[in-house]
Amino acid sequence: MSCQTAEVAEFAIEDCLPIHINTLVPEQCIGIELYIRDSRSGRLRLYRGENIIIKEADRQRLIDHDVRMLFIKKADHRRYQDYLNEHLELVLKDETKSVAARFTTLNEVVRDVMATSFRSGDVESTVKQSQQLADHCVDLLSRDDYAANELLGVLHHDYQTFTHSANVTFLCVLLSKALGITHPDDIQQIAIGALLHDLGKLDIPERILTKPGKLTDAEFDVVRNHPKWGFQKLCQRDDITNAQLMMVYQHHERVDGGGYPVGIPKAEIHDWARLTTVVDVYEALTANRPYRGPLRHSQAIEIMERDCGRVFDPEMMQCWLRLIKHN
Amino acid sequence: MLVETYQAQLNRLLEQFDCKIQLPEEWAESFFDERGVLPTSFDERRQFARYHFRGKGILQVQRTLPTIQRSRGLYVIYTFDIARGGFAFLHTSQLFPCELCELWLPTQKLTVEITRCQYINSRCYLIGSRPTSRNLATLATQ
Ligand SMILES: [Fe+2]
Ligand SMILES: [Fe+2]
Repeated sequence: MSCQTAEVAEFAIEDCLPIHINTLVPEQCIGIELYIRDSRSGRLRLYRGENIIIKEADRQRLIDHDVRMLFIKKADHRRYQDYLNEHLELVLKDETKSVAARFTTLNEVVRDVMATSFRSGDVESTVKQSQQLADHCVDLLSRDDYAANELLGVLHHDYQTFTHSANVTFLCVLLSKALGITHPDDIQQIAIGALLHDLGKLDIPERILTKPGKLTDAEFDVVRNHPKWGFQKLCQRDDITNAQLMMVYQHHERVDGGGYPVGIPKAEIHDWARLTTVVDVYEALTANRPYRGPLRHSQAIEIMERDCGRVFDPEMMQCWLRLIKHN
Repeated sequence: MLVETYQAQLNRLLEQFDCKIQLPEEWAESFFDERGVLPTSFDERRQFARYHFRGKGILQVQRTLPTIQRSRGLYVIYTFDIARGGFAFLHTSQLFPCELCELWLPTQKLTVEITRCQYINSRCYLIGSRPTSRNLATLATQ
């Protein structure tokens, strides 16, 4: 009987979206069916019905079995995001938890929300989610009872586009504050722009994004289109500012004019785009790649120092180095 | 009453407006003499053959983007090259993807959507565009 039920509820992995178990609040009902991957068939079977409460013991059992990801149906992604937003508030306001612990949760939620939005291909929902998440990021990072390296320590480095976007967002907020950008509206806008900066990667085939090894010229041409594709997805919206658009369009420009898509020199690159470039490269260097492990912090700094003044704005780079070395 | 021909109208506009484009030195000497098909080695990944298409034209931005401010002024452009899928020209400033422009080309008017932009120098950008109004095939053979 149970066998039959499991069969009826089986799903192909392409019809579902992965979610991290840390984003589930124990003792709460998520209101969405949760699926688990069958280690033998690779297919998904129902783990919990929509009205079943997940207990802390359930979560622990999953961790003991080395299960970190559950799955939801693609059609449920907006409900899942609403659930996250609602519960995130509670977690982030919980003063009994350390800032680092709350930051860990926020980081996981941002990754999941961006992942479900990016994978659903729904630009409207991605922008709306980015706006809400940016509020949370800015709120948490506007406190001064944490050290930047405490936060750097909890970032994931799996080099998925949404993990990267989440990390770049936190780092952009840290760098903007260090650069003296103090107005909360500006910081919030920078956080949204950072969450969306690689939106155009949605259109790069997965085969290229995860290719272990050097890209061919033709593949690299495809990758080089992502700032333009991201710009095209956002440029007709009236809830995105010019500065945010430039973070998307210009974050691969170099101050010596050798970047893409346009090849403009420093004077023509928007400040916020130059800021994004610094943390974008740092994040990419310290992330796991299909063909190499993450570089150590010191190796990443060494590489970036070599490119200071050619790729990066020297002033922003100095500020970034002071920030991460100091911490 | 005499009706001004398209050619005459275009010439009048070209005389009326200064061209501010600064051609790079290596192009300046023979820019307007280039003719014919571009060698494929120039860019093998292109889908269609491209033809040199050198001359002067007029540009007016027809529709920009919500966050960009532009005047509705007329600007002299240099036409660059042409293929079945698109048309490239030089302009004094950067244009962004999705902006719509009206171009007065030597033989006809054309509405194009900007598809890409490449920096040549601070007063010269190579702009790629795609016509919204009609096929470029006829223009390429003229
Ligand atoms: Fe990027
Ligand atoms: Fe990036």
